[in-house]
Amino acid sequence: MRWVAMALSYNGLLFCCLAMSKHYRHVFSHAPTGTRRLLFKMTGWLMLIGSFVTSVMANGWSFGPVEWIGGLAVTGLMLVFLLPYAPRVAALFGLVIIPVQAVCLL
Amino acid sequence: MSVKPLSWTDITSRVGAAALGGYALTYAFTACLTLLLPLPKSEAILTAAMLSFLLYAGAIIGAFAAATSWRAWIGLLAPAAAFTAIAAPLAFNLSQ
Amino acid sequence: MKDSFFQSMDWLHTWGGLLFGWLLFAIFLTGTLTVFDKEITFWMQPELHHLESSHLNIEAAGQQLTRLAPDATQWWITLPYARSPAVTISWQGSSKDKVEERTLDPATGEIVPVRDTRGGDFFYQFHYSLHLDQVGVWIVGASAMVMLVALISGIVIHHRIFKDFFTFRPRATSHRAWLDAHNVTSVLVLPFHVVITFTGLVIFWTLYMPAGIHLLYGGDKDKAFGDLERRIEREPAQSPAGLVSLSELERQARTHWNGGATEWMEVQHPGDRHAIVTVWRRADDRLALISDRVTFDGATGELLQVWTSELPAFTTYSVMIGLHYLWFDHDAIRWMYFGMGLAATVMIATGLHLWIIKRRDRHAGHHRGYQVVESLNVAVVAGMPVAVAVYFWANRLLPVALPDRAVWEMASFFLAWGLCAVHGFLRWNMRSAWKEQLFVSGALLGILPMLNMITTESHLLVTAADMTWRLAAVDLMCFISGLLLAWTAWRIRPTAFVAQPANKPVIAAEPV
Repeated sequence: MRWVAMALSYNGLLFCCLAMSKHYRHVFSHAPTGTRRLLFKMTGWLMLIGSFVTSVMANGWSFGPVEWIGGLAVTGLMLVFLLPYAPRVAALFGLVIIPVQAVCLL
Repeated sequence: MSVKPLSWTDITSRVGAAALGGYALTYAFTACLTLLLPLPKSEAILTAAMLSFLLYAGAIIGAFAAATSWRAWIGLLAPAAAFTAIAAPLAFNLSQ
Repeated sequence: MKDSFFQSMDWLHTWGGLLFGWLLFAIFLTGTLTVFDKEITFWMQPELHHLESSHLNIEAAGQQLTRLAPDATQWWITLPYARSPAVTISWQGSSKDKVEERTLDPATGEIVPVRDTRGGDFFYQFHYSLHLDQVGVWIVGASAMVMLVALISGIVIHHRIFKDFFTFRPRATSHRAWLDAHNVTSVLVLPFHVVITFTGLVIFWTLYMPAGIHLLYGGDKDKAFGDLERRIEREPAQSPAGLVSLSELERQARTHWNGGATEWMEVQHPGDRHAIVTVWRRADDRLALISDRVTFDGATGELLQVWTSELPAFTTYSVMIGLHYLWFDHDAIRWMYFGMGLAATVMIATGLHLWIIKRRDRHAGHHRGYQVVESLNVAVVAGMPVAVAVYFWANRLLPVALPDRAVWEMASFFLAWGLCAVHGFLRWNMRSAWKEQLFVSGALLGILPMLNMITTESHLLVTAADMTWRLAAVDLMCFISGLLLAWTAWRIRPTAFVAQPANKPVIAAEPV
């Protein structure tokens, strides 16, 4: 459950990040449309909320928020350091961990 | 953009205001709050103490944001005096 | 004027950050190491590595205390747990006496001869007091206030805080790249920085902001604590009486806690008719640090008090300091704090380096003041890891029977650091100074697991094989840190490389 929270955290940040043109261009080599940006932003925020919920589910109300904030920092730093060196890897990593987590949950 | 005067006297004065004036203000505020909070003694001292650090940070920021170093000192010592004036009679009553 | 607030905050952030940056780096680095203080202490005591905390014999601990300290005014027994598998007994004759301590095997109660070392506590004490007692605590407090102000002013001056949330351009110009690194380690980890700094100040509120104690308790700290914690204390009756079975009292205490474990026990006036036994619950399943306790009459076994934190301000305080102390049992959060603490040290280090870079770009050539600043940067940022590595090496190499061994280990740390400082000031070429010190710390930390193999039987091959991860992790982290430091050293170019707009590289005539 905790790894689901971390995966959602990473992906939430990734989508919020890609909602910005300058980062979108690094990964996709063309500018994003307005709709695409809005979609990415909403997905990103939903995932971040999801990561908070799963963190609280996994850890309770005292440790949950603490682990969520820590998770955001850690996954955020990972994302930010991957992006300039390997933007496609950063994006693909996000895609890969979703099914991995889904499998783990079953 | 306006250029702030950055003489050594100005800097020393503001650092003094921030460190000493700021602490005086924070102490007076903490004393005042401790006496005024309608809580049991142990609760009051803790609440006031925990809040005080936020005020001190604000006071330091204020000391450097003020337009002149005089304003920095006055901006800290005047409220400090006010808090002391409120707290003093209450403290005196307590010690009776 | 609208801009002058920004300018004053810029000035405050730059100069407050520089002047306190070296101290803050040291405080945050030692704080980060303190996250794993118990693991480091355990690693530094190879004599204890075979212990298992599974079976616990409190009676035996009590008997040792009766034998060793029959006339003590206070006894303490610290119970073992996953992070620290030994039992520690300690006692004090009167309040002026030094506290004496022994380590016991939890199952048999036998004293385990263990090498004299401060272990991870060295970093803990450095972190909150710089090993300078109360003066040090004040200096750390002042640094923490400056840190708070630096965080606030940093947010004010970071115009593009949301637009640049994910921006990191390592291949841009030097100034841009370092600024991005500074921003990213600050903004992404901001909740941690703010909370850890604020809660750090709150811990020492009785020292930093005692106005309430002065006013409501006449400055009497003991009275104030009595009111806050409501501990039961009484004077000795000066007439002897037997002490009730400690293991029985410990067992009874646990029945009040809904499944909690015991952390430690205290006996006031053992062997006296007015003896008091207090049993503290381990605060490992919640954030609030100040834990529940049960107090008994030591001579009769009568239950005197069952205490738990109820008042809201006290519980808030307890949770706040709990967030800083990190005594709860949660490995994931512990690792996160470690990572975020390292991010904080990177934030401070990049800040210190930015100060130099900005001025070097503006004023080419050596200004004496800049030389001093850069030497200090090297001495602190590159020198401290060397000192930490030497501390670990000293633990493995100093003879076990050496008198005042713990003091010698600490001396090694400071000697190594002093040498790095001297090197940083004498070395004219700053890039080489960085390169050399980073390489030394990288090598010392990287080789540490091998040193461990030569000097102990609980080295990486053994601990990885039998999965004692708490020990293996220390070796592995040292090795990985060593690699990273050495790689960083390797990456530093010996002379400056300045990229021109037309992409024509120009090598500066002298190191910039």
